[in-house]
Amino acid sequence: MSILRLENLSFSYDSRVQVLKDINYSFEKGKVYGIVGKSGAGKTTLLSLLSGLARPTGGKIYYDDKDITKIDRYRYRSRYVGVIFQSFNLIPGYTALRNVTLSMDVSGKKIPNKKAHALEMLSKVELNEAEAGRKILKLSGGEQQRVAIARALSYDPDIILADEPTGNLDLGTQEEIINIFKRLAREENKCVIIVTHSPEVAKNVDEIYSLAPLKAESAGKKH
Amino acid sequence: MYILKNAFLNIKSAKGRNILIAIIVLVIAVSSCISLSVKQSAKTAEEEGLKNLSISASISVDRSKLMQNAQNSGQDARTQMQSVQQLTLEEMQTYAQSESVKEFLYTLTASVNGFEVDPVSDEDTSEEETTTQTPSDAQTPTTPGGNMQQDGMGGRGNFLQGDFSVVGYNSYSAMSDFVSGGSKITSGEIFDVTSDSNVCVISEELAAFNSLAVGDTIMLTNPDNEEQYFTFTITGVYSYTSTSSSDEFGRNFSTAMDPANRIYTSYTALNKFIAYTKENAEVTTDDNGREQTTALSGTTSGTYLFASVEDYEAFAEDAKTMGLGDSYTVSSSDLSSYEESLVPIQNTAKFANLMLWVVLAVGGAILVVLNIFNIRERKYEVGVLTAIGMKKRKVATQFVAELLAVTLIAIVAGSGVGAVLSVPVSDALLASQIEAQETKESEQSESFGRPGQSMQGAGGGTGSSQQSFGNSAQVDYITTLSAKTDFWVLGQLMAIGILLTFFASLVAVVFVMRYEPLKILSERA
Ligand SMILES: Nc1ncnc2c1ncn2[C@@H]1O[C@H](COP(=O)(O)OP(=O)(O)O)[C@@H](O)[C@H]1O
Ligand SMILES: [Mg+2]
Repeated sequence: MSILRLENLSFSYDSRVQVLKDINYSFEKGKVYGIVGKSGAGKTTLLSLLSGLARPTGGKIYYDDKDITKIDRYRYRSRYVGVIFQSFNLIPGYTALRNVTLSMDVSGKKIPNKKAHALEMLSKVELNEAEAGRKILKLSGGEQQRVAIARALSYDPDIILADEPTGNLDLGTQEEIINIFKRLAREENKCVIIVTHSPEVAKNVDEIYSLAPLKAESAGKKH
Repeated sequence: MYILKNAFLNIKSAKGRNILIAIIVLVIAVSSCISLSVKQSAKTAEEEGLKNLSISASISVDRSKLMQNAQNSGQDARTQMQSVQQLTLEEMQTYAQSESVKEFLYTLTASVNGFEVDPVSDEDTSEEETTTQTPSDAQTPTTPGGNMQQDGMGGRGNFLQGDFSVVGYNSYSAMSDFVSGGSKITSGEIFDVTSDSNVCVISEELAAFNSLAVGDTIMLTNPDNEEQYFTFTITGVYSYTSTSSSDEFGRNFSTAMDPANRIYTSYTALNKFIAYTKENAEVTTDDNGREQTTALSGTTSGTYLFASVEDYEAFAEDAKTMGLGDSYTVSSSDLSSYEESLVPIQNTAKFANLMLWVVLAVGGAILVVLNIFNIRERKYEVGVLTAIGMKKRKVATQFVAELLAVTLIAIVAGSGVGAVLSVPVSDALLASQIEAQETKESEQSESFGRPGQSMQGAGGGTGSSQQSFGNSAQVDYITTLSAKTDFWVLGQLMAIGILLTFFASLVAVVFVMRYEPLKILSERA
């Protein structure tokens, strides 16, 4: 049974520029999905829709067979999906640790010993306690990306959405991350959806969806 | 509540921003605390003063009204004024029936001569005996006060100024000089005010001047008919402190105005004397067709005492319904002088009030603007918080909590500082107000060409006449405010703090509610 199902999903910014049109994808638990496509194809836009940050302008998204526009999108975002944004979206003034624990707090889930749990999540993405205590401002791009990953996993959501999560990582770490995602799908029955350019990542996923830029859009600006 | 924890952590980490807000709120709190304390103490001072004020009032002819009537009707002001007479004792007693009146006091004043008693005088009176002055050429100038009384009584014939003024009282309370402590019995005792026997008290000076002592008698005569006399037994001798400058003033005109020549007796005794002179009066008609009588003329003045200002005001109403004509006015000199004494305090309170509003407006505006900058700076934070699923309402609550915490801390600190500062600041404010008021007063006195007269006396006819003639009085201003920051003030400060935070954070709330995470985040990317 699919955890996420897209039915004739369409989206256009400002109801003029159409980015997505009639998309019919289906995502299941226990699998890793890859979404590929050229820059500007609408991959980030699709993730925004899947994470409930944007509302479809056409068609439907079903989470657990429920129309996601009908459920509390704050609750959906804070508990059911974990998003690793392309631009991380961490609070720069907070430490890595605080960024992670805040997400756990917001989720409202009962997580015993949040701090220890957050540190554990951070160490899984190769961030030690010293780095965990550092403000985001003082972390490199790669380190920030790993904090974003730790945050997305920290409150144990059903779905992991990752927008080019390995873009800033070296090959070794990339592999680590892919293994984490695979393990999440296999052992913890998560649905992992990864937007990627990397052939390395694409090779490792269970299923690939390819987004082609719309004709009208292809003549437009590139991302 | 993670929101509060988060708010606390944010306050700690954004020290610079919060210290700036705290300083602004501190300034607002200190000045508000001072303003509120000053206002509150002024109010308390005013209320306390009123509570302790025993109000006395008198009914007098409303001359300004008469003059206005004369002007309106084109009539002669003199005719108008002469047509209205001062109230008689009986009339005054009628109005005293009003339930609002606590006590009705009245005095009878007459000007008499003495037989073998000389008035205290600086001038050498030994060669020309004042007591033998003939009535016809006694065009003695009277004091302004005396003149006024006369005008009011219009047409009662010439009033001869004697050497002594005898005042008869119906009650000890009416003896304001003794009540206020200005006069004191130094030997013997005060007479029984209810007695109708001829007893009196005289001043130490008069006693010394004529070698009189307690138990001696003095003979008082009718200046218009020296054959008519009454003998009074001296029961006491008193000393007095000359508090009013009018005493000095009057002394130069007639000995009777000299407080040393004032003789106190009971109303009944003096009235008996006057009645006797009336019974045996010779009435003649002068060239102008006016009646002249040799009867001793007495001036009755009545004073109503009230327990409170409300009673006094109720009395004014009562008197009208009881038939007091429009030509009369009920006035209280102690109420108006009390009100005058409040002027500096009221001005200080007004100033404090203005300061409060200016500080609140300016401070509030700064706080709102500062908050707008803050929230714009934290826009990305809002975007992230909402993107990870924090409800906007919670984000807004967190921001308000941050502001509220900083504001409350600053207000608590500010009210402490304000409470300490409010005493010296309010005293300084009040002192400058009193100075300003006194300068104004003395300028007025200068333009009248004479110093203000005391209104200390418990009203009576004289007091109110002075008032209607606009003589400025020497006012004992309330000079201390003892500004206290009480719980009421603290409560108001808290309310101000919460209100300020509310307005300042209203902006934050509006901004947060308008922000769309997708937009903020994609702008950033
Ligand atoms: N907030 C936005 N407003 C208007 N157009 C946008 C916005 N975000 C992205 N786009 C446009 O939508 C298209 C898809 O963008 P995006 O989803 O970011 O592509 P990708 O992630 O595949 O590179 C692009 O042409 C981009 O210019
Ligand atoms: Mg993208």
